[in-house]
Amino acid sequence: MKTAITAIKLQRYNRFSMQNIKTDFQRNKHKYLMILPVVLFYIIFCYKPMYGAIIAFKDFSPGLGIMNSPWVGFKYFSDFFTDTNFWRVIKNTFLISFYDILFGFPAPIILALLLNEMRHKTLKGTIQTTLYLPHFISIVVVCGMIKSFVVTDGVVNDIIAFFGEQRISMLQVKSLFRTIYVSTNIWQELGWGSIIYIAALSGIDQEQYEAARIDGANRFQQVLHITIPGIAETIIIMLILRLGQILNVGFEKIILLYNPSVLETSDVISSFVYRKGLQEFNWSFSTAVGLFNSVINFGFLIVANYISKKTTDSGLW
Amino acid sequence: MRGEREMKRILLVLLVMALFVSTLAGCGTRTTTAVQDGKVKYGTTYPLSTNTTLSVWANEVINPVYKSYTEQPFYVNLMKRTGVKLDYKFPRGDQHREAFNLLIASNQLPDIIQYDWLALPGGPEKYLKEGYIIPLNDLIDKYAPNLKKYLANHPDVDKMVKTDKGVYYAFPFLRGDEWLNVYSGPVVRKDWLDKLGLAVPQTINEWEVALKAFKDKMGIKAPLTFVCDYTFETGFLSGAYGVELAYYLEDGKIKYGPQEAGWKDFISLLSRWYKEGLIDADIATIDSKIMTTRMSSGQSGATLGSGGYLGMWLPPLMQKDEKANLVAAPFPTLKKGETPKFGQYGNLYLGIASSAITKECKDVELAVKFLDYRFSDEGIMFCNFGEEGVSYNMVNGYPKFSDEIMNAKDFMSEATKYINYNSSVNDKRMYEQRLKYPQQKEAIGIWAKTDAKKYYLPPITASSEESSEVAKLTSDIDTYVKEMMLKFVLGQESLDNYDAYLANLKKIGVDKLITFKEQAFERYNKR
Repeated sequence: MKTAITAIKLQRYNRFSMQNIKTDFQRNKHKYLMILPVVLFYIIFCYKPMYGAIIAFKDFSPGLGIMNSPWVGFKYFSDFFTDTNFWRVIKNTFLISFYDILFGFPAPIILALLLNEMRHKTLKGTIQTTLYLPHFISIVVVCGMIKSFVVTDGVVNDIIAFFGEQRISMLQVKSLFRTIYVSTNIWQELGWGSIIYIAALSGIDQEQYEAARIDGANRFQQVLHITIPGIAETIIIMLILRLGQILNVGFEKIILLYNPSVLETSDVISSFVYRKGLQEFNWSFSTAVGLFNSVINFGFLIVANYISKKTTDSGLW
Repeated sequence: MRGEREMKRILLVLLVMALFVSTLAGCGTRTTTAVQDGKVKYGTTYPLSTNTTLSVWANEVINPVYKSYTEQPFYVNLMKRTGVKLDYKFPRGDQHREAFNLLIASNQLPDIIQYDWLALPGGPEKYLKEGYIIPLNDLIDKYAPNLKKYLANHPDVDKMVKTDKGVYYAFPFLRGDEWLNVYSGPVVRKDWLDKLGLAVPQTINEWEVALKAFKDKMGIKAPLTFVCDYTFETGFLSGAYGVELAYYLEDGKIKYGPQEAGWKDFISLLSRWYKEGLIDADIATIDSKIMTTRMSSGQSGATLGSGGYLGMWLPPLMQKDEKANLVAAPFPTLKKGETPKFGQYGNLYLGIASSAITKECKDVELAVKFLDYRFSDEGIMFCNFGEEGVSYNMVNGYPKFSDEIMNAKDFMSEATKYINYNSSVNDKRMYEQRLKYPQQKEAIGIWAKTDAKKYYLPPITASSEESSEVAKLTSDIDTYVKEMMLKFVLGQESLDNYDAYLANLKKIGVDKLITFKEQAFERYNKR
């Protein structure tokens, strides 16, 4: 009797005993089998490559391999921090990201809200599909289009000239680069980004609207007091995730659009690393910058999550 | 119950194995180079008899008519003629640099890599030192009589194709004639000049008069257009002020154009022309595609073109207006009658398309003999002209391309079905036939009349110790100079700040780089 009680006690306190794991495994084996591919995916594609990050501290040469390449400490980090263009690329990355969040983040939410208010089913569907389209065009093609729109004899300049203004070659004006980058980003991702909000909107209880209507709320008030609070959690989670990528301004679009005359406002971390990596074949340097990026991004994610938890009670964890 | 437990165990083992394998895959196993035993396995006559397949990674573009190289007559015939089966891999044209990067990092090397080793940071010496590719000196002595003979007959080329330490690292692609070194220069609309009563411009002033007339009298919006970087590497316009966007040799010293005295005058000229609307307003964003649109539609009247471009732009121009005419102009000078200091020029050995043998190659003798075929008389003819009776016929000792190729809409896309002119010794007679219009034929002569050769640097290389610093300096300086050049020209930066620009250039380390280059040049001379 006594031993039986001890056994039960042990079982309760030592949840990770071999016996417990065995029973658990036996009971839930199908679930484990189902999650196996996901776990493997993360191990193989997310955790295993982390080992490679040590080349940021080594003078890596593939001929020698990761283990045998000599250690150089923080050499590549200090190379990056002391580069003449360091502050320029940091500033540009933050600014482009900031504007992209400031204007690009609310855009799909507004679109989703507007679409939600539309009564005409077919028209709504047509608009949605049309707005998704740009997302599927290759970035190379998109940039080719942008370039031909903003040259002196392009469509945008035709419109400007129509209003009697001077034609300008917009990609040669450094103050316009961010505007071009961010506005075309919005155009391309607007429809696609709204999908998740449209899904969230469909989850709102329709009875709340009915109740509000009985209480005499007009449509604008309904949006303000039911719709927006209804998707607030989704918005916050999306914002936290977006802030966690603040330094990830992709190089493809940048290098396809920029030219030396606007480097001052267009050169971001990734394009800088791309140029360096390609011209100098410096794997370690790129890895060091990548690691730096991840640390900063991670910091933003944590801070954003903390603030969100404090103020709204919802967050990622 | 027992069965289930068994299942679990198997699953666990599988999981562990999967983890283990994935970790191992990253490390990769390496085999050592096949030992050279000195015995000759294959005779000296082609086709060689062998069953071995050689794997080749080559930065080449197959003719787009064919789905695979195994269908393209050149590669089919190459295999037939050499007797060697080939397993080719080609990177995508615009991503060869990334692809090469990955190839090296993957540590799974093919037998032969054909690439531009000189353009890589660290150059061939680094790759020899780190053991990716093997030195070929002994192998060439033993198995490559054709290349050996060619290099013995051309000592100037011989100096170019080895490292400072005298190591041959690759089978090069060579130009067989000095005539082939010049292919690009200024072009201008002759019919417009005629209409305006002007001669083909020779001096900077005459250029300005012509461009102004295009703009004011003919209403041309972008009289002069060009692709920025490349244009000034040839010394077009800047040559009149004694500089070009390059490192060059003057009075036994190495100089960098953008920090010499003439550079400011040249930049001032461009800046003024830009303000007056003589230069394309979109100049910073012009690429070869936009340039082609501008030139072949009459939006622009002058540019820096090439023989190939002339052949591409003339037909659409003449289709619209049969009087349209595009001719070559000499590289401009300040005073009439001067010989231009700079002009487009290149070495007989450029570095591109050089085939090195890797450490993974199992049958080195076969690889050498396969590569040497392209330097035999028969191989040179084959690479330049293809198959006799199919793609060319001998007429009075001159290899004349078939009518099918000569009359094709695009000479090159038809010819490259049968030939691969940049993998062997480029024959002048091949290029000559490509030039269809009289304007193209006279162009080379006009463009070649410069002193460019005197100032042109041979292919010098950094040593493997200094290579990473040289690469960093080169790219930092290059980025800064090109950025500032455009800013001055577009008026974003006042020329009053020119001294600050020079000071910054010094701060980035241009003098240090020049010292490295001078040492490299000394080493080159001692080769």
